[in-house]
Amino acid sequence: MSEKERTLRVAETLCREFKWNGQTFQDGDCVAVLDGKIVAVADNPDEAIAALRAIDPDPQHGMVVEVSHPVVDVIR
Amino acid sequence: MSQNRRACALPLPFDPVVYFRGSPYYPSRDNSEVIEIEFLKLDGEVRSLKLLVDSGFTGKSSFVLTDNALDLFRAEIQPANAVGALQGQQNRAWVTCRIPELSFQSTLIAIVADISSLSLPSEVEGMAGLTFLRQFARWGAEQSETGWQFLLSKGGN
Repeated sequence: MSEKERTLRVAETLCREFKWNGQTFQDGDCVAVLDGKIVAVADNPDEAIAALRAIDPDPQHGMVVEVSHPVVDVIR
Repeated sequence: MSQNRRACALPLPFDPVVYFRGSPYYPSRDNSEVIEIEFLKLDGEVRSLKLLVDSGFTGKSSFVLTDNALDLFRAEIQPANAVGALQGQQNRAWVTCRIPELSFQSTLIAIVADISSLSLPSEVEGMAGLTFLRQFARWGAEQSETGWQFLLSKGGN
């Protein structure tokens, strides 16, 4: 499983169950995930991104997950 | 350019942004509203993009950007499904946008996709939707002596 697949697996679980590895999260939490591990939690994306980029400056690495139920984007 | 320039003194639509009581006004095109927004890269550089305003673009995402906007990524966010002109699971990223005239800066979600199917006007590099517009207290179009213009305001004007 690649780094991205591990991170996506965490993201999908977070948004479905609002928890991961026994840790629970609130709707709207921003969770920085790198290589399948949670490295930061914040209540806004800027703080989560800063924490993630401090560990790995490559914007193609990791993900900042917004914990919420999926919403479909509608583009007319 | 004066921040207090009167609406009746607006230049022709070749000037991308004019100001009235501190709010940016964007001269309307014949059949669309287009605004120009600055995006901050991780290295601190700024890139401006012209985006079509479409309040019918709804959801968690604020923007649709071309897939040559990778340099604007601050971090990826989980993909989400889209319906309509873009269909299926879409890659998305956090991008930081700003409008200096409004002292506005926010990190929002952008869909990053091949937008060739969207039939956007020339020189337009993406879309700004309802979630972006709702960052502001007031938005919309007004008719002035020189024609229609689109405004964004943080309120109090």
